[in-house]
Amino acid sequence: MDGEQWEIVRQTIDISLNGMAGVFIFMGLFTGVIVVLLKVFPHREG
Amino acid sequence: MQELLSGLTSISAGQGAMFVIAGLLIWLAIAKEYEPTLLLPMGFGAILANIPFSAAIDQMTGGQVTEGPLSLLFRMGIATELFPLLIFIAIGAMIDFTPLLQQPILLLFGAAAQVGIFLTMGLAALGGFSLKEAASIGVIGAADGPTSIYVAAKFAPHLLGPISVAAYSYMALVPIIQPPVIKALTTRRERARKMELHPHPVSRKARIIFPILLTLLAGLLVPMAAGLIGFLMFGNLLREAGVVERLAKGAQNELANLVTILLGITIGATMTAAEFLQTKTLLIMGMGLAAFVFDTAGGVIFAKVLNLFLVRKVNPMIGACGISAFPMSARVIHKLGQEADPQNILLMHAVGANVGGQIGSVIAGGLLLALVS
Repeated sequence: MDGEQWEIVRQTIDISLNGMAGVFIFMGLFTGVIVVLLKVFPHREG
Repeated sequence: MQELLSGLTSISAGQGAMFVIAGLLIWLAIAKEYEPTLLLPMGFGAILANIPFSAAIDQMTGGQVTEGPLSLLFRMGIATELFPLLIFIAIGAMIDFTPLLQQPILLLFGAAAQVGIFLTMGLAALGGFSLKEAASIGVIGAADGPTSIYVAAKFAPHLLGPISVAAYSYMALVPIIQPPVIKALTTRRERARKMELHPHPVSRKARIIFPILLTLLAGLLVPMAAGLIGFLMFGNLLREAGVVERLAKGAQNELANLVTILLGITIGATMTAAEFLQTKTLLIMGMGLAAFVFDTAGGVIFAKVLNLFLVRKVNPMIGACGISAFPMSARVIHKLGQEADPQNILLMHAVGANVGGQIGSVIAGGLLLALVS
């Protein structure tokens, strides 16, 4: 692999780490949103 | 006479090979019922595109381009990303997020099982692909056809054929791909672990506000993801609103069916011999398989790590449901649980994680669009 391709690999690793962290942050955030949503709008019988 | 036979006499070995591949896709769709709604139109589209001088795709005649309907559909529906987005409305209208809303923690599995996207992206970069090509190949790991098509259409339209074939084939092969990976990473005792089910009802208000809130949050934080998540959630809002049943049913049926036909046959038409019969197609197929394996392993390992901190342990197989292949993956995990213990009922947990995976794959696709662009 030439230097240019190594640079692509480096960028890919960077994007992958940020992407995976981003996915977890979003899903964590959404989890929190759902918990709050269920508390604010609980199910009422009838 | 010679002109009449020009198609027959001009056929190349590559085009002949493509007819065989197209036939294989159609056979898989009909005989094996592997994702028939997509593989059947794709196979037929591939036949149309590989007929010499086919009027179904653009042809150069006398220095002028004669537009073919399938090329036109590609420019109108795929290059603009319209078709995958419309499919998202249909998927949103079909998905019931209640099992996820009942156990929001399952969303985290939908995050963990996206690891295959990013690991495969690294593999593709090591394999000599450009950054945008690597991202498009990685998204096969979203286990979500429309997301794969959406990202590939933006970043690497020339790889759309093999990426779509890989994404849809492996989604159909989830019952074959996931069990050996799960069994290699779990003990029978772990697979037999039961999970308590407390199906507390979710209010209608919460179900209606959920898609709106998620769209706002995702759209405001990553505007590039607004299209993907927004169309998915719009479909879900139609379903949950309860006042537009006709539209919800239209999205689930007419819209889904019509766009699936157009999407499938148009993608099939990108599978010309010149584009498809290359070493990189084999590489993409191989890496697509790796993506599904990484997703499954990532989900299971994450669940095992999470169990170190949880009082009420989860069945680690639930982690594997975080891939977006819905509802196939949930069924596979439920079945594996019953194999380990016939009394083990994991279906609702598995479905919750599986719909979480649908959201996770869309978010991962949106993030990739933002990070790579």
